[in-house]
Amino acid sequence: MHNLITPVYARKQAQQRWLYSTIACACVVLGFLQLRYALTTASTTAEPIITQPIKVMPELIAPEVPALMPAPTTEEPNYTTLDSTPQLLDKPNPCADLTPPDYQITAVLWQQQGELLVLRSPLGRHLHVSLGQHLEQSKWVLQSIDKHSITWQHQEFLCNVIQAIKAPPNQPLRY
Amino acid sequence: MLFSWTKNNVAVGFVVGERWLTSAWLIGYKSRRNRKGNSILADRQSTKVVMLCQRPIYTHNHMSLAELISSNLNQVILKTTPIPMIKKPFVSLQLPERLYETLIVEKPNTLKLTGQWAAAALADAGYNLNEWRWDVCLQGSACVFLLVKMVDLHHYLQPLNKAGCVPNAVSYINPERLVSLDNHLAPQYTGMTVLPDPIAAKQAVCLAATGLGYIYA
Repeated sequence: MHNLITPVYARKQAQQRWLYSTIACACVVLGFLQLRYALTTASTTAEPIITQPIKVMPELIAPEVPALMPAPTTEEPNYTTLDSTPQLLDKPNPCADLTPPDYQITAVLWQQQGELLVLRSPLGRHLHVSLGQHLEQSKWVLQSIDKHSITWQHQEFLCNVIQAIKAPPNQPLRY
Repeated sequence: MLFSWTKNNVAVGFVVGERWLTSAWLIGYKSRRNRKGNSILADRQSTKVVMLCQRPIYTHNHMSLAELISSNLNQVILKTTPIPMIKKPFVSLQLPERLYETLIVEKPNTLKLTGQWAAAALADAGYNLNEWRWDVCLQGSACVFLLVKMVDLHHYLQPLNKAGCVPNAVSYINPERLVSLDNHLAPQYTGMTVLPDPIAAKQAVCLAATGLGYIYA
């Protein structure tokens, strides 16, 4: 059919315009949906995840406690939870109450056969202690001698206490 | 009646002659049972001529052509039915035959309707494209161009535009081809009235039928 108002080429152009407009509108709608999806996912806050209490071994919590714990057996380890063992965490650390022996460091002898520590008792008596030697009338063992400090180890609690050589004897450094 | 007018497609064909204005109203029924293929029987059953009339132009009448067409459209659209038509009819218009020129060229091998080959063919034939409004149809191995001078087209369309009834298409039904093409529509309007210009009546019916999608060229 001839149509002089909208000839063939005009009809073709109108169809092409309609096609391109449809594609452009579809792209705009898809872009809007994508943007909206991105905004909604970015604005959401992280929800807290509620899980069961974490099971840990008490040895990992307090490394100095194993001396108080029973000897390891072949049975299944007795796991405990944090909230079920408050008495274990609240138990006072025995190492905190320990103080180094009340001996005054008078000299440190650096000899070829080994270091020798010269102490003076409160009664004024001098005595010599070498590495690994027990201090008399106590449970302390001389662990090591450094340049500015010495290390005592308690035989019962297996606690190490550092005593500064120049520091006052009643204010030890602990770690 | 109201249901059929709102449901089905309606097409109007106006044929402007030298002395008569012929208008034909057709309804294309959307009956799937009757629209099997493109058979003539199916077309006859799915298309119905509901109105066919001819009115004199400039003789015994003081109304212009645009007023006649506008009054016809508004009369049918607004007054025939209780409520205005929801679906507007497809309006086709045919200008006087002396204004048309037809050019038939051989169809090129590589054919693109949107290309410049049609304009080039018209330019080769000696037509100034700025002065002519043209359209092309493919019929077999030939390309049929229909041309109308731009001045004549606007001379007829300007009053229609002011009246608010611009047709959807300005086309042309060749009366020489009606003899072989309108056989299936002929029984519908031969028995209605005796019209002073029967060829224009046939052209109007075929023109409205082209608005419904049928090809008469």
